[in-house]
Order: sequence, then C-alpha cells, then structure tokens
Amino acid sequence: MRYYPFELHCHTVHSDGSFTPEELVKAAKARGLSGIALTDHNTASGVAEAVEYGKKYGVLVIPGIEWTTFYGHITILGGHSDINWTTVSPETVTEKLIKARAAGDVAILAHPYRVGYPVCTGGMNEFPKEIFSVLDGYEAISEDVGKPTNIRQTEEYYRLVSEGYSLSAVYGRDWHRNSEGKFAVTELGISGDLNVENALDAIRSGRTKITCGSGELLVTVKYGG
Amino acid sequence: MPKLLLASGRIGTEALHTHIRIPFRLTEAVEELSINYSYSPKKYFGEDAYSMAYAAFKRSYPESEPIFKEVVDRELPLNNHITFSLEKDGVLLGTAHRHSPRNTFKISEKQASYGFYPQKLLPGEYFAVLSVHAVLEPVEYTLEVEV
Repeated sequence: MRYYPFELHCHTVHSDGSFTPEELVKAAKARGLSGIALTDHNTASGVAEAVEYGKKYGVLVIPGIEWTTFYGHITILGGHSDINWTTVSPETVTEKLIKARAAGDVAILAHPYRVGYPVCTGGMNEFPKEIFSVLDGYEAISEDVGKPTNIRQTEEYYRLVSEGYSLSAVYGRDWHRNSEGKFAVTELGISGDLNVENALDAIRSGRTKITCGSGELLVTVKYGG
Repeated sequence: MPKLLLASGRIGTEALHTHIRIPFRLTEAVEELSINYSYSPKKYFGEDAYSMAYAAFKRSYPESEPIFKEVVDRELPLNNHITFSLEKDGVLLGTAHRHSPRNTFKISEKQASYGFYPQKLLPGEYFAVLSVHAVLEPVEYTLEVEV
C-alpha cells in the first residue's frame, strides 16, 4: 500500500469556481497532487471534461458533486448515484445517503463548522446526528488550516470517532481558485492501481491522513482494526 | 423567439430555504432552450446585517476564540442568493449555482451553459426551480424561458 496526496473538494466554472476543468487539473498537477475529486455545487456537468484532462495531465479525477443544501454540505464521490439535491432535507438526508452509498458512492460531510447562514447558507452542518452512521468521511480540517472553525471541526471529529462512528478524516480545501493561505492534503492509502475505485475504497476503509503535503501529519485515525 | 414561460414575482423571507417550482410545458421537441433569470436586490444593507453575521460566527467559532470586527465586516454586505435549476420528471437537468443575480442559460443536445447537461429537449412538463438559499428582505425575480 502507498499513500497518495489528493484534494477531495474542488470547484470549477460549472458552479462558482474560477477554474475551467483543464485549469483545475493543471493546478492540481502543479501542486504535486496525484488526484482530485471534482465536487461542483449541485452539478456534475464538468466531470466528463475534467476526467479527460486528468488523463492528459496524469491526475486522477474522481467524479463527484457537492450537495449544497440549506442545512449542510455533503460531497458525494464516485459518480455512481444521481440524486436530485433539491430533495435532500433533514428529513430525507439519511435515506438519500444510504441510496448514494448503495450505488457505490462515498459521502463526506464538508466543513461542518463553517460560518453558516446568512454568511454561507448550509455552511454549518445542521443535519441530524443520525447522518454520522451513514457517512464515510468527515472534513476534520477545511480551507485554510489556521481558521478557528477548524479547532471545532477537529475536536468534533475525534469526539465522533471516540463514540464509535467509522468516519475517515478528510481535508477539504474547498478549492474555488488559487489563493494565499496554508493548505493541506488528504493522503489516501491505496492498494493496487491508482484508480477511482481504489481511491474510494481507501476512504471507506479509513486509510486516510491529513498532512501538510510535505509529510507533517495533522489528523489521522484508525478504526475497525 | 417563442416564449414558453414569462414569470415574475416577489420572494419574501417566508420562502427562505424552500424550492419554488414553476411549471412550463414543451408540446414538441425543440433544439434549444434559452433561459433569462434575474433577481434584485442582491445585496442586503439592513441595519441588522452586522449582528446577524456576528451571530453566525458565534455559532461556528470555539467559545474562547475572539471574533474581530474586521473579520465580520469582510462578510458584509450580506447577499440574497436564489439559484436556478431545471427539472423534468423529477430529474434535474442541471443547476446553476452562481452568485450573479442576472444570468442567461442555454441548453441543447450538443452543448449547455455551465451547470447544465447537454441533452435532447423532449416534450413534457418541465419545472424551473428557484432554490432560496438566502433571502434577507423581499426580492423581485423575473424568469423567461424561450425556444
């Protein structure tokens, strides 16, 4: 098994990012990333193009989407499910997550403590606690590593794991454009070929660690033996 | 250019966090749909903007962490934010998650504006879906769908 650096939360012009799919893939290559997940807000319309540029530039592109709901944001990775995001609510979210995962996708709670409404609608997670039983990952750190909200995210992450939830530690830059700051990566422990299904399996299996990219470990956890 | 839908109206704060579905019908297949969508105002300058933003920071920050005025000020003015999606038979044909309050979207079999999937535009009942992510004061919208 080998660990590869990924950015699992990215946006393009297909939602509100500044990158075209090609620019995003090139920027990922320039950062030395092995792969990215394209998670535009409520659309996967840029995925096919990004996957093609990923092949051209040697960056693995995981198809994805970010359910940008009024009550929380969840990245869905894999491209296997096709759930209408407008049907995701506190009452239906658990059922929708079960359906997405049954189709083969991986679900990660994005920036659970970002400043929420009215600064960023759904930025702060307000979904019921039962979702933690049907998620694969949790952004223990998001955006600039030094943001105060990351203190709460990391504390909450460790608390949830200590309660027995099987959640992989994931970093999400929520990469919309190039900007200054201190950013991290999610390293995925991949057995066999570097491909989408093996990357998803690493997240499902808890083979993740958040590092500064230069090897400095920020968050990791092992569960389930 | 034939108009399939011309709608306008007011979205009040009671509609916060709802999806407003406006139906229209295609009686025959068409090559392209063109949608003009706008709403106003975008920016909210109410006197309570700072206190609402501060309260949002308070909910997310660690209790011991100071919340500096300049950090809150960076988020002002606050924004109304209502996105547009197109739906047919319960299936989304795309969502434009944009912050601009004035947009034109085009969809055809060969190409589509960002956020939408190129596809055949078959007869049937369609819905323009306005998703009210943020509405801090009543907002006026206009929506035109043309072929």
